[in-house]
Amino acid sequence: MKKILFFVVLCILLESPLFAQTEGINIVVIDPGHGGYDFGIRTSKLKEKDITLSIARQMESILRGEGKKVFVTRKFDQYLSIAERLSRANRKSPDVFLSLHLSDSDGFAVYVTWYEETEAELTLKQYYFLSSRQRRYLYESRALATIMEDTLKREFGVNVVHREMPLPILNSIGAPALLIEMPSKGIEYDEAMRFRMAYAIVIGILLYEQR
Amino acid sequence: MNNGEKPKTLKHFVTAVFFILLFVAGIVAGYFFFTKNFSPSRTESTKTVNREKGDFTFIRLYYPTDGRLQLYESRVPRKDSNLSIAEATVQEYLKGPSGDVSSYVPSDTRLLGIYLGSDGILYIDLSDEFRGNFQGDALAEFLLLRGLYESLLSNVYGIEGVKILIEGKEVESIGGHISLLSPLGEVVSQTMEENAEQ
Repeated sequence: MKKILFFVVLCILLESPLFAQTEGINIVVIDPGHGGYDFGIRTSKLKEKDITLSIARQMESILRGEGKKVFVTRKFDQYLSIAERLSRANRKSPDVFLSLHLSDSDGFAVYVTWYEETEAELTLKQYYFLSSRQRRYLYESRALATIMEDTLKREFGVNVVHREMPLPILNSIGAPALLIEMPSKGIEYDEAMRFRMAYAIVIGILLYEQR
Repeated sequence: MNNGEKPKTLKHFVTAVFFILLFVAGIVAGYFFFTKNFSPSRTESTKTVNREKGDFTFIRLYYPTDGRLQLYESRVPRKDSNLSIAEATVQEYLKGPSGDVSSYVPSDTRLLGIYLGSDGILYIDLSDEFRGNFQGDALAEFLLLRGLYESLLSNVYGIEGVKILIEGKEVESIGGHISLLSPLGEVVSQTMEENAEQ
């Protein structure tokens, strides 16, 4: 019932002028964290690699329904290095990049990458290590993070932490980019919850597009 | 005349003997005095006793606890070289904090080797359990590595960075969030910002 209600609200919102298509988001890349022998967080009830893949595939389906081009970095249970994920993502020239993970808590964490030094203070080595790609999109990534945090907090009513940290999966993405950690505790990832989670994140993307 | 000279000669003889005996006694007493206080064998045994009884030092260890690094101290036998201090620091860090405290240190991890490069980078070779048994999110992984780095920096003099190897090989990451391709100094020494909203 809650799922249907959520879908109806989404449809009404999408028809409103607030959601009128502008230059907008055409290509979304979703990166389900972990995979293969890298299980991520494991409990008796879940494996992080399976949860992230399942929600990524649901998001792919919903976003395609909205007319977006969507690419998922891995489509099945396989190990991908961070470098491979970055390569696959940047090859698609995304307008938005999201990496999905689980937090070790009952709340969400939304990550934006973090550059401590100013451009002038970076050594050449640091410059290439951090990569300038994400640096250009840092402002947009923060804007996307704010909207995503508000959306998740509104939908789930749980703690949402905003963190800025040097994460390699975000450093080299040439687009607004977030790493979203969903709760691993106090939540049961049945089919309805995965659907609800996927929809909430998609709403965050669409609200960012229409801001 | 002869009767008067005899006792005088005898008196001189007795006096000379007395002084000779006094001189010899002084040498003997001096020998025993100095051998008693400055004997090398005695010095060695004293050092051994000190080491066994209390020649220990404390090393500082930083563990991830409740979303931040917390300082702990561990008592270890005093080490002579920089590398042996580094080795002891890693060994102690891998044990995790005492008590029932969750620290994200992967269980059963062993230190396989440690080497200080001429470039000042400390290379730490850990067993595969460090990657295979890690359980945690991005923050936990960041703090685990930063804690190891900060622990080494606060105990070992003159290291420029820390490079972690797993089973002798370079690995990209232990938990899929933080890169190990560069030395830890470049990865984890940056600060982190956090805002929590309810």
